[in-house]
Amino acid sequence: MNNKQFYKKLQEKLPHWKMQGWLDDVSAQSILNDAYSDANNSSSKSHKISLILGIMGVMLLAVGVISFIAANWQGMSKIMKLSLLFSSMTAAYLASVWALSEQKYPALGQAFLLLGVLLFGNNIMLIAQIYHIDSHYPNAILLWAAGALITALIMKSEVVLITSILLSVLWSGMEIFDFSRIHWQWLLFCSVCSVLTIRQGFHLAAHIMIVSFFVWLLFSFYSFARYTSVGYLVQTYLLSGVLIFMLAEMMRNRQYIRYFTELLSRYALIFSAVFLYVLSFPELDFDASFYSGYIADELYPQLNVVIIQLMLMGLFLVSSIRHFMANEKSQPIKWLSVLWSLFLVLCLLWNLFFYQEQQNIPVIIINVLLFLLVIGLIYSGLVEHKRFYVNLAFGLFTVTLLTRYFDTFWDLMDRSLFFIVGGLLLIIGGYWLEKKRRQLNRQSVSDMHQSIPFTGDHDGQ
Amino acid sequence: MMGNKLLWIKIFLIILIQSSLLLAMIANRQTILSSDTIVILETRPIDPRSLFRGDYVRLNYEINELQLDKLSGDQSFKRNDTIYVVLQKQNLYWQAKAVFLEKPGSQNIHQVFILGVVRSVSNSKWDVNLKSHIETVSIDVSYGIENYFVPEGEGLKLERPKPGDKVTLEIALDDNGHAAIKSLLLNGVKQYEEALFPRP
Repeated sequence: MNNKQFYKKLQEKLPHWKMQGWLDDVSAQSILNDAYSDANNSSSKSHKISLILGIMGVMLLAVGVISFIAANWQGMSKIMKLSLLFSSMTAAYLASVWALSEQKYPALGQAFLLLGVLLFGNNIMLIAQIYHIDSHYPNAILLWAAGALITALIMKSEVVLITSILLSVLWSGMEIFDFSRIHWQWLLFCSVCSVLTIRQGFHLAAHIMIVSFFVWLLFSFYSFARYTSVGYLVQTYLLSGVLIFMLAEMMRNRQYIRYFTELLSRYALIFSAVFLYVLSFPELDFDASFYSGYIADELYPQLNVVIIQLMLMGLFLVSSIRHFMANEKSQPIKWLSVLWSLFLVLCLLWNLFFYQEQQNIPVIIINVLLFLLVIGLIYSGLVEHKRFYVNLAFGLFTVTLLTRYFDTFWDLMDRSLFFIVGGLLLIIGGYWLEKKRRQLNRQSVSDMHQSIPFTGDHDGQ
Repeated sequence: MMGNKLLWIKIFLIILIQSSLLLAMIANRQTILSSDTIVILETRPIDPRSLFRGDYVRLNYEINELQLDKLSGDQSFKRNDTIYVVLQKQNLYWQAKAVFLEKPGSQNIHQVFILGVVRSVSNSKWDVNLKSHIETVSIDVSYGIENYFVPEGEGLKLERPKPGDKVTLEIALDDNGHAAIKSLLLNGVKQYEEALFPRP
């Protein structure tokens, strides 16, 4: 609900609250005035517009400067080229001082800082070109990202920090895909960026930082896949995702990192749900025997994969028992949740040690667990007033249902009938699911209002 | 006023750090270029499919592919290993003589070596004369001097040299084997020379 909608809702509700005697006239008017000023507060909106326009301007300016240099590059001596590069970067930073001093034009100041960082990167590339430097090109992106991070640290700039995070993902992607490395070094960069994001309370940067972390994990899948089977990796990723989720849930009571941990738990839940969904396919390869010869002289023999998974399973069991016992109020739900975790671990153990013997049993159990997770998420969403859980549950349910429909009926039905039935199911099912989702969301909001009427944005999911 | 002073200090610090990073890049290359150790490396005919992208030439040196049974030194390498290739002058051009995983020590003080990274290891090679694969271990090595940026439109003569034309590179090497392109020669005549201050 945005500020204007909230103001309108208050206009409707306040007379009723006054009639009930919950509020006097003065308090009601004060509340209404406050909501009105929030709804009509144009300064934050205009700051955002200025920032967007500034950034667009900076992009155009950067392209212009680069084009100018490129067009006149051949006619310049090397010393002239270098002078031009340094002076353009310095000019951008000096312009940011002008704009930021006494908070004259803060949005424009941020845009100039970004221009300085972009020109710094441009200078790295052009110096590499001047000297024909060809050795390990991801280092150029690392240098650029580090320069941007230094600027973000010193100036506490969210725009520049986001640029630095994105550059670091590019750097890590190059190391992983072009040089087939497991690139742990990125985690160090990620830690510094996360600390700055949390300390400064940057919301957009928090989203981008956490999404980048999971994107990096997905990138790393490519590197890890060289050492073990895809099935084992999917299991390891699922366990890692769930553990990150539980860690974030454990830490969310700490006020100063609350926003960050809330986001982390949400994205970790999506990540885990995706890998549980992947695990529900029967075709997943768990046969690691092919890799044993290949990895004989490598750092990560198969034994390590087994040990890592066993450790993660142990951690998962302990933390899930702790989590559900501490958080669930209802006894049956508490035990059902623990049982769910236990069955999941049993399936993963089966895949790890007895995959060759009977492949269908764990897949069927995983599908049942997936369905139970959907129910669990809807239940938690309603009880804890978390709309995000309900939305995720419906998304997961729809995708799983569609997949199983394709898996089951593709070979059994005539193609035209398959698509007609599929289409009808999609239309009717989609309508029904959306109706139910909205109904549950409304119920969740109204429950929340009844139980805790004057607390902050509990829902906000 | 105080706030403005702090802002100036912060921006000055950023300019200082970023300029230092860029100057370090330049100083590193200038140091290598000012080295007295200069070798001339031969390039192979360049593959026309991957040669000229935009305004740079992809150079393929004789020493990019090393057949280990023809060289002394270490014989076992992995991808991404850092290696030291000892060079020896034969007639006009320098060629690989030995390859090591460790930097050649002080007893080899007169040896000239270049630092490289193993891009791939191959256990067989296509023999043009026999028209079949022969069993031999060879490594593909990158030295960080494989790209040469040229003014737009001037790459063609390097890209597809006329029959009999020879493209060679003058490479400067520092004491640790780091390499930098000093000049590019076509049939022994300098085409481009890398110097911060151009000679009159």
